[in-house]
Amino acid sequence: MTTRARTAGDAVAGEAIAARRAKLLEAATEAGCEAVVVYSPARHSMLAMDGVVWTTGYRPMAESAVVLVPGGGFHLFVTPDWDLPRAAELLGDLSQAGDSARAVEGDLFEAVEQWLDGTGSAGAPLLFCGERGLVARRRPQAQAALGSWLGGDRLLGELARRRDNLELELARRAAEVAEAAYQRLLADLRPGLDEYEAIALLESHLRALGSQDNFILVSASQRNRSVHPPTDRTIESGDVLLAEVSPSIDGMFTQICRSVTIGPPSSQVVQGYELLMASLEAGLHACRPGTAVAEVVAAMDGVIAGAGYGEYCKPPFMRARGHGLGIGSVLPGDISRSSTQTLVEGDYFVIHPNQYLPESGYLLCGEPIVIDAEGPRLLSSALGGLASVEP
Amino acid sequence: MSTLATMAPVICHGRTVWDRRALPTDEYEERREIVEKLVAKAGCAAAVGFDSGSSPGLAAYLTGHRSAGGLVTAVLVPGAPVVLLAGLGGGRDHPFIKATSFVDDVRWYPTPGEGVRAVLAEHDLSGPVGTAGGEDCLPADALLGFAEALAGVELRPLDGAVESLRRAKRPRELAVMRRAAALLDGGRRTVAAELARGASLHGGLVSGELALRLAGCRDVRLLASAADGSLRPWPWGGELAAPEQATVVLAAEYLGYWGEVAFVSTGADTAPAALLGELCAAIGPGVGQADLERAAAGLAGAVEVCGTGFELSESPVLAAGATVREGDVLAVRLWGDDGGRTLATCRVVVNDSGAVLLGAAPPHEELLGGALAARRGGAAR
Repeated sequence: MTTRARTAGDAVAGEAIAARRAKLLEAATEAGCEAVVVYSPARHSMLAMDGVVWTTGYRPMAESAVVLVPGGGFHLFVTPDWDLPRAAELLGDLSQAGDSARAVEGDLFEAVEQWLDGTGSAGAPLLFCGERGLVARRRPQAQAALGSWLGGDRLLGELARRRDNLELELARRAAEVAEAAYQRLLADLRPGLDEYEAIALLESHLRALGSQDNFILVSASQRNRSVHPPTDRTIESGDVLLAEVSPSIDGMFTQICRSVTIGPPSSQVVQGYELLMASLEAGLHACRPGTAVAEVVAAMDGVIAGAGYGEYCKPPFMRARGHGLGIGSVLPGDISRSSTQTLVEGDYFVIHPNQYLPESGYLLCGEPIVIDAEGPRLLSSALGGLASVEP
Repeated sequence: MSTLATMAPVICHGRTVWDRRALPTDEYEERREIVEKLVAKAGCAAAVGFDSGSSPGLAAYLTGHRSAGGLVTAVLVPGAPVVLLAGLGGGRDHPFIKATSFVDDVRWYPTPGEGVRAVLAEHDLSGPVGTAGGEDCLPADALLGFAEALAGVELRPLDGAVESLRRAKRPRELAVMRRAAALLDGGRRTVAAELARGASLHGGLVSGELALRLAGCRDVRLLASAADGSLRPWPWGGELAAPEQATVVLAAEYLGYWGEVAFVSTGADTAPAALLGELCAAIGPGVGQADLERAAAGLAGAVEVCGTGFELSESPVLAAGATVREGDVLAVRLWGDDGGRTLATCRVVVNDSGAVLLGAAPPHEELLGGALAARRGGAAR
């Protein structure tokens, strides 16, 4: 099974992405703005939103911007200039009369300013999205070119929070890829493989299955203190291998969290994993529109604390009980005790009671979910169980 | 024609180790002494280096820790161990950072300002503090917040001095970069071998990336020709060109240092490859962009020469007005006169009279062309 990258001509995707731009422009107009600039530094992170990707489907390699004006279509400014064919092909049939993609050879903000000037929009009240990614060195050029602006990062994140059908379909496909690649990894695993070799093989499977970018953590130990990037450590019989598998399709990330033992699992690992699964199920049960994120965490922590491990429900024994997934909106953010968010219909995140327990060490289990009106819907095919491979 | 760019993965996630044979502890002790002298020369009592995944700098130089993506802050108080402010919060990753870098004191604070203030207070320091990397790693309001957190402390920019320091690569750095070049040669051969066996270009690139990651590279980036001939990041580029008409660029980071290799098939424009040697012969101390454009005039497309090391492209950037200095390690990229469809690249080390290749001579079309000829011969049978 392979999943191809979306190319020009995908009408359904085009309509969904055009609807996002329309929503943003409407919100900007309500805020008193007459133009929108969406900036991307192209420093992509699964835990941060990229407005250029969300508004166009184009994932830039270097600084880029999208400009929206009412009745004026959208205009994508691309760097490096030789990446224009990719941008133009992707936008292709997705664009309408008045839309454009253009290469920038000089300064991005000067190019945007010149275009706004040409349309008579220079100096008009401007909504600027992407300020969080605008490093200090670039801010003077942005301000010199665009003048003052209304910051739009929070507005954009909220607008994009309820995932549209395109995002959810991409997330579902990404979850399929994650699960399939993980199954292939299980066939590869054996004592004698180094951690970094395991991650290389997993990455190769994800690529072959169509993932365009991956965030992966794979590490192994007889008793893990945490999960971390792979080292030269050689996998041994008796190890517990931890895998956070986060592929993406057309910019939409997903994440599954898995634990696998090399050889039969010990009773401590089995019991520890069952406890985490119970915590996961309690968290899923608590996930409803209108529920505070902190309540979901309390439900998950309650199961673990109830088993006598309350003191481990905090750093450094765990980090968060889940988190949003970009490159669209990353709301509701970290699923943590300190969150002030309330779940809404359309929220999409990974829920994971990943946790260190003294007897078993650190274990991973987690699934991507979307919050429907009636509760959580799993985007993976099933809750992942504790796996084991022959030593 | 702008610079070579590649599609960076969201978070670097490959082999993360401290190779003590390649970069032993004395390497970092020596680096610290050099930076302490730099700090003293600037009249500072301490130095703060900001790094991020896309802008590695003083923190990586002093400790060997490369951020996978987030902000990392190194605090150097002369005579004291380096303190690293890193992690997403909670300290779950701190033991790992300590195990894979030359730093024992790893902490987390909600903001870098709070962390730096705490470290300075431990040493009862109130003198000027040199800073590097902040403008490239922090948004303006975060940088302002840092300055406010250190109100009363004079902050002096050290960016220029750190940039100058990092340009001239140390012997062990050069050795790692040569190793990276050798690994990339292996990756290139893997791609060629797969294509000779009849694989698609996509299949060849999957194998090439796997080979590089199995050889120990932490990050791998690829560019390849699309069906219309334009160069695109893989695998975001859509339909790829036929192998007989492709340019491929492989780039990989090994132990924190980048290498790259470009190769073309016999069906593509090989002019850049043939001219690369002539361009490199024109490189020497004092040379600038205009000099190299004159050397390449009428022969090819755009010339791009910049530093390389922690980043694929870093200071000096000749197109931005810099000139070559002895000790520079440069990426030399010659684009075809075809709107960015073909590229030839090599790396050189500048000595007092010119430049010498870092690693083996770039192979360009020979190896890939030979493999493809074998493939065509097989098909004919």
